[in-house]
Amino acid sequence: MNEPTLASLHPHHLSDMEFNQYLNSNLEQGSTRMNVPRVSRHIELSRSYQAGDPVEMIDWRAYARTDELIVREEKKTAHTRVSITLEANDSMQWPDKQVIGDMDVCSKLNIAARIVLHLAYRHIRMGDQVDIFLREQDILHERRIKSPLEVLNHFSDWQALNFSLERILSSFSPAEQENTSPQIAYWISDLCHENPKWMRGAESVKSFVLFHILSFLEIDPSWIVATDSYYDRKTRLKEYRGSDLIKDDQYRHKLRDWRRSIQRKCESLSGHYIFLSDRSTLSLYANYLDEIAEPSRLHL
Amino acid sequence: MSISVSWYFLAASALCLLAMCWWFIYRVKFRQIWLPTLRVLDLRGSRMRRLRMRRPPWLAFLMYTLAASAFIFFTLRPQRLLPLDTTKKPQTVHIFLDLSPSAAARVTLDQYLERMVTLWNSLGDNVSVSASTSHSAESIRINNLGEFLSVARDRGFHRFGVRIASAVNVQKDRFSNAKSLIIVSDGEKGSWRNFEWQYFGSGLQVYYFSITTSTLATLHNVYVLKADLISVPGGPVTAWDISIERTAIGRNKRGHISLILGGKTIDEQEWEFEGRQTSTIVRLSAKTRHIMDPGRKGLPLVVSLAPKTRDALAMDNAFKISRPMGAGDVLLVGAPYGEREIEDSLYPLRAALRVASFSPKRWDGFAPGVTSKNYPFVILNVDEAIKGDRQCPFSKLASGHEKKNVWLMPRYLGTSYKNLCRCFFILSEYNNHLNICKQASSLSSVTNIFDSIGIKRLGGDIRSLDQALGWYERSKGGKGISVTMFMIPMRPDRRTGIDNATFPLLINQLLVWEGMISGERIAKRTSNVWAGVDDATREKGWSTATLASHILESNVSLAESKLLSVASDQLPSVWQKQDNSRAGSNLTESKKDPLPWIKLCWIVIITLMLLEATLNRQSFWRYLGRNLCILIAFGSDVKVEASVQIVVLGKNSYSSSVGHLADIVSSRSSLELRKSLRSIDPEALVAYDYPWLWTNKKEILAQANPHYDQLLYWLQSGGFLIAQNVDTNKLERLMNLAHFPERYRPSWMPISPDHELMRSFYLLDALPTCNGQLWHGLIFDGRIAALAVPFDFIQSLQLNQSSKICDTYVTWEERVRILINILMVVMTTDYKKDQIHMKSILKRLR
Repeated sequence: MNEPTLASLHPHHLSDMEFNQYLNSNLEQGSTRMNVPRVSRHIELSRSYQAGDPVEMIDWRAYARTDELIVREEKKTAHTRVSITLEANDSMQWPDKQVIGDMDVCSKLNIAARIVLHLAYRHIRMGDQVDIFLREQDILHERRIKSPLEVLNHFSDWQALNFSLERILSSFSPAEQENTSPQIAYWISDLCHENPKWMRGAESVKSFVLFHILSFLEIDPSWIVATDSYYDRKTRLKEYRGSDLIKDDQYRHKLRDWRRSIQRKCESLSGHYIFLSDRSTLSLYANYLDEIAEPSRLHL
Repeated sequence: MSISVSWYFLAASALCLLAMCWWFIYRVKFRQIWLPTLRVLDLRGSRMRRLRMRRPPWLAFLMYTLAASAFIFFTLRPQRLLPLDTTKKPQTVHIFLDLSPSAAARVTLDQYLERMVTLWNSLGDNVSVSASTSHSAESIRINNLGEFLSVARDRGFHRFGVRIASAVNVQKDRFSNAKSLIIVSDGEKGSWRNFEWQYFGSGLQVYYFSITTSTLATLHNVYVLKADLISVPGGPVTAWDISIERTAIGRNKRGHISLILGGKTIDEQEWEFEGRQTSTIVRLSAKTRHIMDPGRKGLPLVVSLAPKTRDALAMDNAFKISRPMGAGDVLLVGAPYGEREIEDSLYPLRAALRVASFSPKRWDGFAPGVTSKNYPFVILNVDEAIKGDRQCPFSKLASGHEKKNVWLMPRYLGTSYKNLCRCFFILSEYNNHLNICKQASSLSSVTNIFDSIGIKRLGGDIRSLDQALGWYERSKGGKGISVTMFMIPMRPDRRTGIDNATFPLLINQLLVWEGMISGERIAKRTSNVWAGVDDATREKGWSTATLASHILESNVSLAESKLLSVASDQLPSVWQKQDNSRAGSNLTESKKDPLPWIKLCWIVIITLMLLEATLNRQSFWRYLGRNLCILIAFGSDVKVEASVQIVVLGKNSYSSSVGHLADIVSSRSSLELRKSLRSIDPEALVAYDYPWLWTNKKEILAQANPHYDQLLYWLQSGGFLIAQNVDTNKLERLMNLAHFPERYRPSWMPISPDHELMRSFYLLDALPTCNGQLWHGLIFDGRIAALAVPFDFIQSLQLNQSSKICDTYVTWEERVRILINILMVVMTTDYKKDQIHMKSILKRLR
């Protein structure tokens, strides 16, 4: 049985356990854990003493009982400003009907929108301030999420119309100015731009995560026919014969080189680069979330 | 309006259409699929080109479109020129009526008026007309046909000639509003000389309207060319050689010629032209006393031609000549003595004065009560043996004329000079010096006395006291007497060294020195105050219609009598009947030159291309390539350049480089001379493809030349041969001209000083000769087809310095000038007559 993929991603996914934990704890103030530890009384925060831990954190009574040095450490969480930017260019609606044919393929925008709502749902539940930005043809739209229920409502609306751009746009209002001071910024795009703007967003935030979304048809060119011509609709400057693309597997190599160059750029800005497609599994997605949570001390 | 599109645009459009069709067929073969990642991937392999529509930078695009449209509009030529101004506004037309004698030869005044009626009807209704004639600069406003006809009817034909160019130039200010100038004329060559009607005035279109409906045929006109006075003035008979010419040949023509004075025929002769004869000379004579009759003073002598058959121009059958009036009367006073021919000093003097056209009269002395006041010139023969001053009566001499000349001379050689001296001082009013004349006993004493007083000395050596020929002084009292005292009797004498041959010349020179006759009097005996006037506009009074009577009655000018016509292609366009609704609207605006506008559009387009490329952030060269189609259009503006090369037939030892010469020719003229000299084998037929050839081989001119027929054909079809180092005196023997058609058979003629070769660019005085051999030209079909040079001209050019040519020193500058003149003749026949150079010549003159 095939593993579920991102094409079936729902805001609830991967967050049920954390949600129950959140409901049982009144200590969570947000998704950011503070650096300064404090002495705690909660047994669930107990751990063995390690060299260098403050002596006052040792639970001397437990030592008396068990003859083991037990430390009860508590790190407080904080409220966080989160910005999720979705680039909804024309290329995000690819593949179109001419390419899909009778294949069961969803558009890049579908996957990207699911990820946006999933991230929003998770952060709003943590008590963070979540702003979703939609960048369409260099026009910025904005939506501030106020509750987890609102996220779920959006999801059901967008899904009903197969995540069409018009429907998604109807949920946003024009942004007066771009939020320049988030603490966590997510940028979700296929990055098919001559002049990418994500780098500007990565410079001023504490934690930046770049979700690079491509269709699996873009990653795997085995569907390309040698006698057809392939072109870029927007600029219309480039058009190649199919035989030229698959010759020496150059398309695949060039795509890989392009992804790597983006990854290098992102990491040079201390950001996280996550490459996903509509065939990526939910477990892979969950792993990525875990990876980015630890270094940035995110409580995701 | 139908448009004739240039072939360039047709070809460019077809090419573009073809390319688009090919692209369309090529493109539909492929299914196009959108793949967004191609935007960011840089793949190998040839990209497929696409026709892509983009939004242009609107300002540049708009200006570009306008300029390109204007460019295309101005490069199209309408097949039919329509007037720009189609309003009913009256158009102003000025009509110039040429009433010169040659017109009278073509038509009668009634026929002239009929043509004027035809012209008037062709003008249409909506026209404002003014008219002027060749009679004067007067311009008349014309309101109806009657007024128009009266302009010519009242004035008639005139005898004097008028240059139309000068006439309309003087009248120009009086019809400055006119849009059209119609010249009613017979197209006679003299009248149209130097008329650059193409450049006459901006905004003024010049038309020609012939006074005849038929083509101008050659007319048979007999006229007097000149009358040469052949007799000595003062002789009993005065005779003239009358040169008569005619304009046509073929028929015998005869008639009478008579000499008429005051309506009375005083001589009559017959004349006759036979066959191809075009000129003849008839001698007319009359007794001098009839000619000099004071009662007919002021009347001209008229030579009247009376052809027995019809003559085209009757006006020039009367040819006026002036009567040969003498220099004046002269009184010689002195009693005769001795042998008249040998001893009487006044007898040979009288003969010498008669030769100098004086009318001498001799008195033995002054009779009581008789004065010499009627004589402006008196010669006194003073006898020293007679005492007293009665030989020198001042009162009898010093009256009558404002200016009087008195000559004093001794009666004998070797006498004293006392009486002569007293007479000199009396006449020159030096009365306080009379006593000093008692010392004038010898030549040296006279010289001392006169030198001390300051009298002007004639002849002799200033350092010698006894060699003065005479003395000259003007009277001090304002009587106007010029006194000349000679120290010897003025007659041929072995002792004085004056012989019979030089004596008249000596007297003549003395008369010229004293201003009594002109130095050129003898040479100009044929001068004629009634000479025909070629251009009356240069005469005083033409502009105000007050020409002097002698001009109005002058002879018909020679140019008019010859009745030569201007070629029709050198005349302005012929005036044709105008559409009434657009009368006079055949404006010059429809002929405006669009080239400046095209160039302006070109500048705008280039500027906008730069602007568009800048705004659009494109490479200029890339943009240029895309708009190459339009830029190619300007390729048609490239001037055609051609050069001439010196081509030598046969082997030679010339240097192949003539660079310095070529630079000089190019800098001075509009011709480009190639810097290399080319030698060609005379056997090669390709040699006769060149327009001109030089050769040193006289064999080429000989009939033995295997390509002689080819050479003759080449010469007849426009080739120009320069044969060097040939004996120009033996050209007729060297070159057999019998191969030419008899009717057009050429002949070798020496290059005359007025030949076109001497003035085609530079004005040359003479061509360098070699051992007395002149340059010869082979005149064929009205042009020079070959030139025979008696020396090696190319070699002399390649010396690049002045040197001797056959013992004659010729500067290098002169050689270059000769070469340029030859070049001009080869290329243009006559550079200054070639209309294509007119613009540059006028520009240079201005």
